[in-house]
Amino acid sequence: MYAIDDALETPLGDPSALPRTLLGRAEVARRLNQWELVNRDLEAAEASLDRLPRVAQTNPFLYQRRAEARMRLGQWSGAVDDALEAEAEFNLIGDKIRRTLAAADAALALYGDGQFEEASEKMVQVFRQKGQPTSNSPDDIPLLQVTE
Amino acid sequence: MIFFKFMHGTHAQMLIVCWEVPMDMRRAIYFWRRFRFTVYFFPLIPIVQELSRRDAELHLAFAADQWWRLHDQARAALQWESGCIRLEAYTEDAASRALALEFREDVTIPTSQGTVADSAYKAWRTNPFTAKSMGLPEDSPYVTQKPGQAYFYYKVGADGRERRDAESVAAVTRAAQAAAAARDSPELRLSGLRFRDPAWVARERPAWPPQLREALIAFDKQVPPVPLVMPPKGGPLSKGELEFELPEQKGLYRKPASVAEVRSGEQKQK
Repeated sequence: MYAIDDALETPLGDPSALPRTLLGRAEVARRLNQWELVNRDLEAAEASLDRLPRVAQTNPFLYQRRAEARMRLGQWSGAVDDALEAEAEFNLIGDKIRRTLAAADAALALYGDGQFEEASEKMVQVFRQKGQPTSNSPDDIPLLQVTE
Repeated sequence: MIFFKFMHGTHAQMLIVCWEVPMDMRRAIYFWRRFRFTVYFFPLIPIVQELSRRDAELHLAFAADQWWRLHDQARAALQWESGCIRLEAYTEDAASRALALEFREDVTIPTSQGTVADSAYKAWRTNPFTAKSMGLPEDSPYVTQKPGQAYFYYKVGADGRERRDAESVAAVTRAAQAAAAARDSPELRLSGLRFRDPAWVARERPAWPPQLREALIAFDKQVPPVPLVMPPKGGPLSKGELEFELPEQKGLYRKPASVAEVRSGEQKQK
């Protein structure tokens, strides 16, 4: 499994091949409960996102998975950042259900980080939002032109 | 002959339309029946279920937190009751969904439109004697599988163990059946009582932070379990789902006890 690391360092024609491969390997490691490897691969995937065109640089699933791994590893402050990032990106692409799931992750991570008041506010936010995500329809995508 | 003699081009077009439109409608109905669950609804249900479960468990976490930091027993008990109700509803929904999956032949089998020929074909097709008469073994998929469910499996080695795609309809059905079986056993059933067991929480919810586990232990010590009364279906939401806003004055919150303090307090109580 670790022998792939050197091979991935070679320049590839497709700039998205590297992050895609890392995401795939992280998914394998996730199913094997190897959370250090998940965290490491997703950190490398995030670092390689800079090579992609700007439109392809968002991947909320990356941050959601890494928040999950960091919560298992006890890296709570990193998990808070990732869960909040995933929530914001899911919100941007209009996925209300996964946005709320990411908010639930963020509540637990904030609690683990010792930010109890923020954690309980996040829980209340989930309770308030849970009735709203009735669909994942593309019609519900918010205004995508608001980027800058 | 007379008919064709007086027939105009537009009449021919009308005839074509009369033939084509119903055919198109039949095709549309066929594809709708076949794909409506598999393409759109089916992938959405698991994450909605997950949202339901996560929300219910957050109510439990919120209850433990409110007790641990605010020492508001009424509020904590209210939230705990709501979490238990939501978890119970989630479990019931999963079990009823298992039954629905079991009997969704009308969705997956386009031929079962209720005609005599179709039902006769199905009876012939699922009869084990048919397979025997054709020289197939009894455990042949031709016999054991329902037609039209797109369920493939292969066997590995001599043990004959089945390996199937985890996302196939049959695999999902079997998992849902397992969930329905777990519903009836109090040891396996997901409920608020499970969250009073620290070992279970540590094992089954590894992403939950240790502070929350301590809060759950403290809650379990102080707030005894109450038998759950499920509200009638279609009724209003439980009280804890409506009243969850945090108090305005943040000074009300006490500094949360550290893990060491909680443990020393337990030793003193002993």
